[in-house]
Amino acid sequence: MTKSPPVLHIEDLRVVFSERGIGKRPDVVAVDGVSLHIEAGEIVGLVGESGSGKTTLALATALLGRITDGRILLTGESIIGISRSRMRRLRSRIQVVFQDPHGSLDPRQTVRSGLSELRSLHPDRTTWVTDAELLAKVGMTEDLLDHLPHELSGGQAQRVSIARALLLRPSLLVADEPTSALDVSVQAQILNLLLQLRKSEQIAVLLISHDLSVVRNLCDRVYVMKDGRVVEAGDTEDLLASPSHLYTRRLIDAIPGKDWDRSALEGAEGHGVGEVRG
Amino acid sequence: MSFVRFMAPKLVGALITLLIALSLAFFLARTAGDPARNILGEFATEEQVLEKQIELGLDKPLPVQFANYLGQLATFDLGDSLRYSRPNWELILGRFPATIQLTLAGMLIATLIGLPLGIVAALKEGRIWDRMSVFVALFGQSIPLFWLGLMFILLFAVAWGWLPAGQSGTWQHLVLPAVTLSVLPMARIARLTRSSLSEVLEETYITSARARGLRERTVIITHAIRNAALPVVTIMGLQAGALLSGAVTVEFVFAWPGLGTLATQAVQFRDFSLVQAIVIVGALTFVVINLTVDLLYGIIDPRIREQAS
Repeated sequence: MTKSPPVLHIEDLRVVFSERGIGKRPDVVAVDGVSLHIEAGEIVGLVGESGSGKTTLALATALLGRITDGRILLTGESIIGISRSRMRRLRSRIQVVFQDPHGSLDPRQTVRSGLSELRSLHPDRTTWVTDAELLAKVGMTEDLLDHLPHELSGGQAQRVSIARALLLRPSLLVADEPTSALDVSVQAQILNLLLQLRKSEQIAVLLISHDLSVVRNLCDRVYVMKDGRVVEAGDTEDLLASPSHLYTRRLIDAIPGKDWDRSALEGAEGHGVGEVRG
Repeated sequence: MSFVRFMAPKLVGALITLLIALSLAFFLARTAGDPARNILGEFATEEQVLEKQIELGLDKPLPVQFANYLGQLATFDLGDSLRYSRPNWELILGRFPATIQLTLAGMLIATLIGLPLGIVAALKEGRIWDRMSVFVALFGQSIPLFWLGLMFILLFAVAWGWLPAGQSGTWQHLVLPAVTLSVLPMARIARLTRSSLSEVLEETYITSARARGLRERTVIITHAIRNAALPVVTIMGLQAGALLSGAVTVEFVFAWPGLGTLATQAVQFRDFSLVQAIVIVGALTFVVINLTVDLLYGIIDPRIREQAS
């Protein structure tokens, strides 16, 4: 069997923020030589504390941020140094769902006009589904089509964001903390929706989160980021059961309640967790 | 229905504002010296002055005068000018078009320059264009109008002779006073447009619009500028009101035959009846402009309309 190229292939990515002029602050290396890959239909977690560079990485992946050095291939095709029009077309293949559900919708645009804006923008990719069918896919009814964002709940707004992303049939969905602004009950619904869409639409998901319990329930593999570098990577179960890096253990330890199977963690408890606490 | 609910409290507020302005106009006008004596001149006898005071109703106690004044206003009677012995309405209506013309021209120039300046500054934040527009805005906000007017006259009228120094009639007469008047609102509009737009540009829905593959132009025009418009519309409305007071100075400098010149003259001759009437008309105009801005809010931002209901 010939293997198709990964949906996303990042090689040695560096993102450096530097100021110009007199009295400038020193350069900040937000992402420092990160490599990762995501196969079709895979859900991959990217975890780390705030400031670890995960959002910078996500934005760079979604062609929205700065890229200082390195390679990003989307289904085998490089997205660096391409023309603007080519990039606009490529964008439909990689869609982003942001943390703040209401913030990512234009307050003056109804659900319907948001969708039709996309349809006129990417006519070739959006004919596969009607607005009503699309909303049904994310668990909404079409009577919400003429609502403005402030008339939607947080969960509904996030579903609209996901629907909008879905409309373009992306091969990769970058979800940046998609549930952290939502109520716990709604969080579960949105996460289930992502799982379901992976199955029905064959979409790969890069899930960025600081919440390891979310990652554990959803992701096939995990990358752990600290100070702009990937410090640990592997299958979710293995990695959470026996984290080899101290930082990962600390992240695991920081989960309030640790509502999953604790026995999986016992392997880690013996080695140095106490030291970190001290 | 929701529209009535939205506008009703604003109307009540407007009426209260108007009432306060009317009262201020009345009491302040009476602090400016004895009009009876002023009309009659310095050689008038005490009897003549007393007679004039009775004629004008100035002999009555202040509260009675105030009640009469409000009663008159209720019948839309603005009284007669002491100096010209003609109804104040007539005098004001005669001058109003000139002031409106000047104010509109000033506002138009302010908007046409201020808006693009603010937009460019926000889009090029931190770059040379931005710095320049911030400088222009600061300059415009701190410069005294009468000085600027005089400098314009010196340069464009006296030294180069391109434009007339004062009075009205042709479009050339309008240029210098309108440009002078536009400087302050232009600076404010530019500054506010810049800050409002650069705030919106940081919003996630702008990033999100880019992520969906929208052209940068579409992102800016349909998503950013439309959402940044609300505070700008407010400031434009407020500026339109403030322009009326700016017009007093500018009209005086350029001898523009508008309400401002009329007001200056009325104050000089202690024609308190006319001053009062001009203040009332000014306050009314200001209140109407503000109500219009409130109304525009509701149209621009559906959230505001719905908060009321």
